[in-house]
Amino acid sequence: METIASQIVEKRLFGNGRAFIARTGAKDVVTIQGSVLGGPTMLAKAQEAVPAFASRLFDAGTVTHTKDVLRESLAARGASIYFGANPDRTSFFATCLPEDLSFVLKTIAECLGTASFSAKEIETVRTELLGRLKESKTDTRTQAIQELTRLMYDPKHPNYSDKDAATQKKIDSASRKEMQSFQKMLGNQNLIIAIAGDVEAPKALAAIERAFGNLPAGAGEYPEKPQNKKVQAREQRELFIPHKTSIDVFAGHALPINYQDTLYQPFRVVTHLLGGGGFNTYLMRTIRERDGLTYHASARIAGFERDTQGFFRAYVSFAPEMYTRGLATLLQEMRIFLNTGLTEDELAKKKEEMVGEYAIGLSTTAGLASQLHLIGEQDHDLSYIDTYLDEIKAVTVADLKKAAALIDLDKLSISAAGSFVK
Amino acid sequence: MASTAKKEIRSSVPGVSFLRELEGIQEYTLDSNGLRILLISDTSAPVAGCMVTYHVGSRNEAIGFTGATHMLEHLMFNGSSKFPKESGKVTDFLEAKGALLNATTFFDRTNYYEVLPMEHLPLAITFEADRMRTAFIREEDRSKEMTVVRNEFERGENDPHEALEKQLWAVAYQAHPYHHSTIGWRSDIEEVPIERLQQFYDEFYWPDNATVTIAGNFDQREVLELVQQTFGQHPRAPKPYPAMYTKEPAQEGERRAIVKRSGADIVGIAHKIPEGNHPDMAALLVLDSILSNGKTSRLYRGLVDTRKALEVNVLLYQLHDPSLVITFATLTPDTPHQVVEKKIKDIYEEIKTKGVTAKELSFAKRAIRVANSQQRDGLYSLLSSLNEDLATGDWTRFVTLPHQIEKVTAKDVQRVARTYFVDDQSTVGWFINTEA
Repeated sequence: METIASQIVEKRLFGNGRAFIARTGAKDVVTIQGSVLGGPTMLAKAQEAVPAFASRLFDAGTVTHTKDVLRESLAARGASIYFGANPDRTSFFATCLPEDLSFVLKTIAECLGTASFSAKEIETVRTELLGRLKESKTDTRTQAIQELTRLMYDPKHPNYSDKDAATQKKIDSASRKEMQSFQKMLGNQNLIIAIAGDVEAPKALAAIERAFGNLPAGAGEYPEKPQNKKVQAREQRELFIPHKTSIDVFAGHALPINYQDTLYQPFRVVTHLLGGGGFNTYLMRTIRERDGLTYHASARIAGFERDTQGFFRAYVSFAPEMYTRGLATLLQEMRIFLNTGLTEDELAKKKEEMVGEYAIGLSTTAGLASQLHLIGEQDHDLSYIDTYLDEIKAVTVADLKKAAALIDLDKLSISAAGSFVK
Repeated sequence: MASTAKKEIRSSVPGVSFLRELEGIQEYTLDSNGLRILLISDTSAPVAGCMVTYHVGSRNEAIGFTGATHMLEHLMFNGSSKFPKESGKVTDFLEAKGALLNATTFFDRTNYYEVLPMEHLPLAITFEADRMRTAFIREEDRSKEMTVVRNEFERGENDPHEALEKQLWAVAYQAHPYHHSTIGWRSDIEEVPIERLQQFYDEFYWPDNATVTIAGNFDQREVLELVQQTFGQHPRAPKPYPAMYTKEPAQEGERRAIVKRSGADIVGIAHKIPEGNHPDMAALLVLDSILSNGKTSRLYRGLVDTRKALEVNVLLYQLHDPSLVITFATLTPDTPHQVVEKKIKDIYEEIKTKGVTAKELSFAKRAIRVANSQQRDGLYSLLSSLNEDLATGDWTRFVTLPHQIEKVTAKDVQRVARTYFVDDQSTVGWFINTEA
């Protein structure tokens, strides 16, 4: 049987760089997902807002092209490029027509390497970031998840979210000099790029090498990550925001594993069973369908960057008058599930679901590019695009139980934001 | 268009008539009951999708049962004659095979879909056929689901953009049912009786009020035979569909809506536009792109680049009946609402008086071409796009509209701006963040 990997071309380039090209049946669609090493984890705490500035400024003018020329040249092709600041890496996501691939790659590299960070544009972005911060102060979900990370992590850990005042200070102080210094980290030696869609591999690879070949090597090593100094303990915080008709609730737990750990995939399966998406998860069947307490109940893992131990969190929304009962039900059902829900039958069904879901996920250019980028980011062989499923199929109930034991239900962190009934 | 020879081949499943083929989309009908079938073959991945679009939405509701279409959509997951939930929900079974499945409701339509590994497509078709006429719509399920739907409503009210948009529609449309949002008013969600929902189901869930769209990797003949065997069991609707005859009276002057709550500072300006299949829609789409697509757009340059707004976007609704185009701007700190409102109106005015450039026209057409290509990238995207076109009453616009857009001129864009961006036909909304 033909493997997926056999339909993808990979090339190692610029030292540790990796490029993946996947030609699919999509017509007139090309999706690019990539990243270079460099992010807030590589900067001093006070400079953590700098990558967010930079990612908004990459297309606001370079040494050779003004903002208008740059943006109009993309608009003329109907192409879009979005830059993002992840903890370790600066990412880019682009879409274009096949004939514009070479131009778009060249533009991405030009923006990363030679963005000019003009004083005027920096102030425009500062205004935007301060505005978004202000808007987030009344956003129940944002406030609750940020508070959850503060309950689980010490302030030096990458998964800790600053309080609003500290974030504002970092936005206020970010300078052009810091952005230029950050830009020097961004190079090609750790480039990861995946292109999927209506694309020819030899031409695409040549275009990547032409476009990114002129970048400097950039940062070579991932930073050392601090261990979490905060001890997981039961703590509950409620943030009052007026005029809200729904309260957002998170229950979380820091985990002592990273994505290389043998318990990582079993833990993903546990999370999927509990609340991984769709209607047929334990939380949706109980809190929503049986009790009618919520519209949405889910569980996820997050915060798993390179050498960073991530966390688990369950998320539910409740009407203010249902909050007390709803939270009690959530905690009770998590206990029941972790004690009795990890069965052979449930595991077998979930494995089959994850296999089917994976095929659907890979059937779009964005889904395929995203998975290939993940393979690069997590240092897997290309064959992982097929063998990932073997990892899932190999998970046993014993593995699930070991993974579930990483959560101490008596020590969950709980955060909620909204208009609580007095 | 398809040749006659091809037509004969395609009609060879007894009881299924081939009607036409446009750019890879084949249209058939079930002779016995008028069900429309659309088939789009794509063998590039081992996945397939099934979607049933019913031509009923919140447009078919009235005071007292607003949100009923959406509530009914929720109740459609509680079993049907061949798939009673007591023997295990079929949706759970399909999800366990990896299916992406759900349903959505909007002004003019309700749709149910499954995107799944191709081998499970027959089950999805059989299930959808069964719940078309034999779904269990029971009070015991309504009473449980009501609080779920109410929390969906409550979550929406938490979002300042959604809250403001509801007010804009409610003020802009007074008689026509686009007045209320699809989720309905809170008290109607809480009180609508089960008999009203059952009546809704019995009035609208019939094959001649629906389209089955199958896309992806499947055997055409097998699928048509299965659709014929399953959906073909249902008769046509026994009586005419209730007519929605209410027309919105002419608007005579600008209207305003204010929402004061904790949230964000937002300006929204809505203008009346014609129905989705009106000949002006192509030019309006180009105008929308010139106004709001990307960082070279007029609104981005005028508001974000000048630090008046964090973001701008335009929602151009393409609906069955005349609807709205709404411009939203989220304000930067300390920028007054009136400044942004005036700036948006100045931008409209400039297009009305001076028109648009050839460069802008070219950018817009290219952006729309790219967006149209992306509509076919993945089965969910394809089904979802076709669903909205079906809701307007003419699915062929999925194919024909891009060609119409190619013919739009700068003069057309200026003309539609002058025709529809008229103050007296507008509704201005401000969301004022009381926690500033």
